[in-house]
Amino acid sequence: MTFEENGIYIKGSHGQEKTKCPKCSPTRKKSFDTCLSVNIDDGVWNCHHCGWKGSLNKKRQRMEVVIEKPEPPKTNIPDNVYEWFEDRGISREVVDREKIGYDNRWIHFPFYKDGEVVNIKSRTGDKRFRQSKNAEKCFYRFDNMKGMETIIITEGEMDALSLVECGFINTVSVPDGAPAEGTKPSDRKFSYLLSAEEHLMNAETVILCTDSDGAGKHLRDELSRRIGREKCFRVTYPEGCKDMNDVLINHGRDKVEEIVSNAHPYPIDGVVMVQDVEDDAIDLLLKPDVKGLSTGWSAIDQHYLVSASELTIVTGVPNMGKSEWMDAVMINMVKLYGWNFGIFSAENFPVKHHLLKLVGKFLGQPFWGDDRIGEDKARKTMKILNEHIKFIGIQEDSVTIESIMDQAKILNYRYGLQGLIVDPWNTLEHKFNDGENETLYVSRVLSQLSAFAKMNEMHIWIVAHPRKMENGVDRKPVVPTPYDIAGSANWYNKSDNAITVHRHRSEHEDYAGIHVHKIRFQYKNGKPTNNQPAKLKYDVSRGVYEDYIEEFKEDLFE
Amino acid sequence: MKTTSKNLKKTFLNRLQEVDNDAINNQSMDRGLRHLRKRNWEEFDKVWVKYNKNQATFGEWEQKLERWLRSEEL
Repeated sequence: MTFEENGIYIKGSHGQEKTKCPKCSPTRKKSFDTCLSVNIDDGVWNCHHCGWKGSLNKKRQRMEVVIEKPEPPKTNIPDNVYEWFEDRGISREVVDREKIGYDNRWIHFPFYKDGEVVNIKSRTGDKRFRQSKNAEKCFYRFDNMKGMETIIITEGEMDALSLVECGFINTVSVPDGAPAEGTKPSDRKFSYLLSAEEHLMNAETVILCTDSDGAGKHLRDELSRRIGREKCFRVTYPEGCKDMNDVLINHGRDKVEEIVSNAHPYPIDGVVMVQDVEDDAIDLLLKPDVKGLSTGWSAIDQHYLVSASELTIVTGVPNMGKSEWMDAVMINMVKLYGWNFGIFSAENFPVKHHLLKLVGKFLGQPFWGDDRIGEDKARKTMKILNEHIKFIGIQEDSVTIESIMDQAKILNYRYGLQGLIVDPWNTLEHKFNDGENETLYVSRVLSQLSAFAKMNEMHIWIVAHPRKMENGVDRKPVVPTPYDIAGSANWYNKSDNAITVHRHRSEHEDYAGIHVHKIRFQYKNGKPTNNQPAKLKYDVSRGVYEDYIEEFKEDLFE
Repeated sequence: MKTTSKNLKKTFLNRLQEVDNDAINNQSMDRGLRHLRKRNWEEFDKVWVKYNKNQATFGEWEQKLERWLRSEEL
């Protein structure tokens, strides 16, 4: 084909040229515009006006692949080949029954389908493989899967023969082994499933006996995805064996039978089977004294203990001591257990003020006034705090919950965090997804935080303000519950523990009440306070919470 | 190992000499700080045993010693 035949007229014989486009130029106002670029050497063109493009090269014609059926292999097998099979646990009877052939150093495995050989896979002793050209792709031992309630699929012919040797005649093997780990399996690679669709659909159980290496697991995942995980079972090999042939060689027939009969259902994403967590649950049963850790106040111990992998919501009316109490919990956990914390505390910026408050709490001494902490002690304390507390977020930056989780992840990697405090929620920059309202947003983020706590075995405390609260009949602020937190009832529903810090002040008493509203795992973390809160005495000058001792009130007039 | 142990003992005693005795005599009786001191001492004790079994480095031993002495002075 030439350019002229396509209506393209060029002057030169090589290089790049611009000319009029036969498709659009005759009808254009600017009919003189040479809008068609032609590459004469490559024989291609492109119109910059109408977009017409083409090539002089003949289009590649798709050759229709004609499937050929190979001749059955010669089955006169020499003794040394029988011995090679016997070394691998496969008897002469099985080799003969499966009509395995041998010819010039190549062992031939014939693929029978409907009684005819449709493919031959050959291998040498040193693991070189080849298959018949233009042969049909189907399972090895295809005829043996027909009408079977249980079908066993292996990764190679030797594994299939190992199972046949042990009496599992309903075994087939994939023809091309496993796709490399991490590659995207193409449909062409799995075309052998098409011819077996009817039999796989009718089977009640499919046992996948692929190799235990990465490629084998990749094949197993893809087969289970295509066949349907609900009917797929998988096997676990003993230590040191990567496939069924290894098991047969090293452990014998009984072990092969045991492995196949112990095949367990393929795990379904998001579903945990009892057997998956059985051992962990028994561990828990045998250690009934696994309790959470004390926050440092005996009055609170029976209501709230701190366990890893949990999410605690702390709320309270402003200026009632939520952040102070949170800091005190953190300092106690550092002192008592050497916990490492990441803390975002926006209301305590700049950090130097917060650090001094923490030093005061740590030493139980005021950081202001005449009897303030000396420099030497403060520096020594700061060295200790430096090891245990990392401040997240800076005053100038807008901080999102995602950025806090990212930083906490890095801190956890470097220093091993046990606790993360976000104080308070309303100072974060919240990024709602499209169409997401506050309730959905809070629900999503709390789920993320809860998963983050579990994955990193960290305890997360979120301090959140309640909505505007009305005063009670005595004109005193009402104790808010987590249902009163602005935004969503999910604060209560999605947290593991929920606490309100409320200062009770009257003529007779003055204490900080720790109202524990919810404890998810009460067997280890205590029981919620019902009407009476756990009482703590707050020493303003030292910033310290202590167990509250009620004063004896003597009535002098009685 | 014997020589190394001797050196450790010497380092330990020298470091004890430098400690502010007044601070130790007037140390806080706060429950949390008492726990902290006890925990740091136990950790230091463990790392010394580990060092003798060649399972810890001198740096780790020194770090735990400093941590313990720092808490004793509070």
